[in-house]
This record gives sequence, structure tokens and C-alpha cells, in this order.
Amino acid sequence: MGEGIRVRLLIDKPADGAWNMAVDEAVLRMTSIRRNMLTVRLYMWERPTVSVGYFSRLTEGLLDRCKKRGIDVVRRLSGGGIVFHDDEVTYSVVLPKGLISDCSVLTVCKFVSEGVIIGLSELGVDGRLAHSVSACASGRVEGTIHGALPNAAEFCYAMHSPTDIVVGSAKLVGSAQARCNGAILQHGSVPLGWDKDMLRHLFGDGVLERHEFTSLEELLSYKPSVGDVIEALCVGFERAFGRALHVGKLSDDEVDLALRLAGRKWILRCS
Amino acid sequence: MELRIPEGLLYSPTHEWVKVDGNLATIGVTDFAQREMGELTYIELPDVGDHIEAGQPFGVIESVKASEEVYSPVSGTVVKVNERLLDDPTIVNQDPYGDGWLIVVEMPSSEETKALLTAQAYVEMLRREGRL
Repeated sequence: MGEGIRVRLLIDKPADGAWNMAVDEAVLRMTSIRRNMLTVRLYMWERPTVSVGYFSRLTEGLLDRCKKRGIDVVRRLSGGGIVFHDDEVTYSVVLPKGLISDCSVLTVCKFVSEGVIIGLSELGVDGRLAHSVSACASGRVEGTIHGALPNAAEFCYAMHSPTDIVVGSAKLVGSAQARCNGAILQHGSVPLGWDKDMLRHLFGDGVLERHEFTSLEELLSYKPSVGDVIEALCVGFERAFGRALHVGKLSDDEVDLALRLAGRKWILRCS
Repeated sequence: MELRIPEGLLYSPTHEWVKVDGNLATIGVTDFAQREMGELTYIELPDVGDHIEAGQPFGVIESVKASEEVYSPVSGTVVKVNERLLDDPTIVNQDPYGDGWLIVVEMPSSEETKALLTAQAYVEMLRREGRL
């Protein structure tokens, strides 16, 4: 990583989905212009929220089920499937293109995931990138869905990809990427626990039985605090990047851009 | 397989290629760009009749876990869209400079193409950035 690059840490208060996505995009856009900073952002969600990947299909059925339980819905700027954000810490890492020589999707994912994996080990969880344990010799990023329920067809945790962080064979961290002219954003979810009734409501009765995914609570037999998970992730990113994280805040132009984006772009568009 | 950068096309620093024929510009993404993304799963393109601006995004491509904007190397009006890609975006992976073309743009003038890179200059840019 270039010597002239600063590493900024943003720890944000829980916010609604539109704001969370708008801030991610604002940081991505400004990094694309300035290209002098890597940002690690850790955040939570004010209300339970379903986020839908840039191209994911949001069915009327899922939208109705979200409405019935008062769940917000937002579209992400990144690829990938549908994620239910509730009891979790979300990370986003934004880096300028060229910070690492190979900026392929998988290499950037590995670069960021290394920090998450070290952070998990701080909590006593032995996570690994699925790429390293699956037969994906081509380096291609391919997703597979095994026997998904109709309602769970695009549920991120029903999909297996080499970019997942797994414990044993169970998926713990799902992540996705958004790329623009000069910068790349990788964000992902670290679930502290799952609201299983809600998952059944959203994705179908068999979702827990059919698909192998887990949470920190299930792995550790207790639920770590948000503060502990944030601290562990900070240690992980510092070690992975070989740099101290400097606590910072959004710049004025990032705030201005996020306000404009949150007001229109990330409000739900159905497809 | 060796990276393909055909002579006779023009290239943008954001990894799009342009084939100029009079005032028409056929635009696609380079072999380098499709390799960075991996196998494409979705593609979003403008409509015929849309006006696009040089340096601004005109579409989005997605592999399983990543979405990426595609930037226009020239300004003009979209006169043709490769609709086959909407059903099978992997054509871009298989043949980025042929069947994987994205759009054709009618340019008011070809002035903007002077700022684009030749194949040789594009290779040099990739070398300078440590990507070759």
C-alpha cells in the first residue's frame, strides 16, 4: 500500500438505510476524485432494514412482507443479493484504485476480508474466505444457490460465493463491491445474532433449515457487544493494512453529497 | 491467456474502447476491464435516443458480487444498443471487442476522440500503473 495514503476510521451512529447507503456512495465518489485516502467505516442500522443489491429483483411479495413488519427497504449501490440488516455491525472499506496493483474483484475482496478475518479471530472466531476453502482455481467470482426456497432465491445468506467469510461450512459474513472510475467500495455484514422469526417471515419457513449460515452469537454461545465487535474489527483492519486507523469524520463535501443522494437516489426503486 | 488490446481502436483511461467510423462511435469495455470484474451477470445500458456525455457513466455492469459503472469516452446520442447482452452479459467476457460491444453513439463531431489513447498508449498506461 502506498506510503502517502491516510487511513481514516469512521464510526457512525445507527442511521436509516437511505443515509447509510448515501454516505457509502459519497465516500466512494470523493475517494474517486481525491485518491489519497482509504476509509474504514463501521455502522449500524436505526431500524431493521432489507437492502437489495443494485440489480437484485425486489418482488412485490417481499415488499409486502417487509411492510407488514415495518421493515425499511433500500437499494444498495453494490452488487450481490438481498440482505436483512438488524443485529449486526456493517463495515465498508473504500480505497482508491491503484492502491493495490491488482484491483480485480476477488483481490480487493481478499485485501479487505483479511482485516475482517483477523478481527473475528480477536473475538475467538476462526473465519476463512470461502475462496480459500472452495474449488475456485480460476479466480472467477461465481455465486451458487443450493436448493433455495422461492422466497429466498436472492437472499444473500442463501447464496454461496468465494467472497463469503465462512466458519467451517457456514456463512458468517456476506460482502459486496461497488466500483466507479477511481475507487472501489467493499462492504459487508457481521451478524451478531439473527431474528429467526423475522427470517422465516421474510424468506420462507425452511430458510434456516435449508441454508447454512451463522452468527457470532451461535458461534460463541453468547452475543458480543457492538462495541467489542467494532474494537475487534479495528484491530483487524490495522493489522491487515499495516497502518494505524485515524478516527475522522466526513468532510463537508461528503456530507453535502450524502444529503443530496439520501434525498432521492437510495429511496427504494422497485423492479 | 494474454491480454488483448487490438490496434486500430481507441481507448479511455477508464478501460473502455471506441471504434470510430465517420461520426459513429462503437463503444465497449476492454479485455482488461472484463477480467477485473469476472463473469458478468447483469448489464444496464441506456436507451436509443439518450444523450450521453464524455467522462460520465452511461451504464452499469455486474459480476456476482460487484457492480461497476461504465463511462462514455465520447459525447453524443445513442443510436444502437446491444440488446443481446441483456439476456447474456457473458458475451462481453467471451468477445469484448466483437459481439460484446455495448452501444453505438452518433457524435456531433469527432473532436473528443483526439483525447483518447492509442493501443500503444493504453498499454503504456497499464504498465505505468503496474497492471501489466
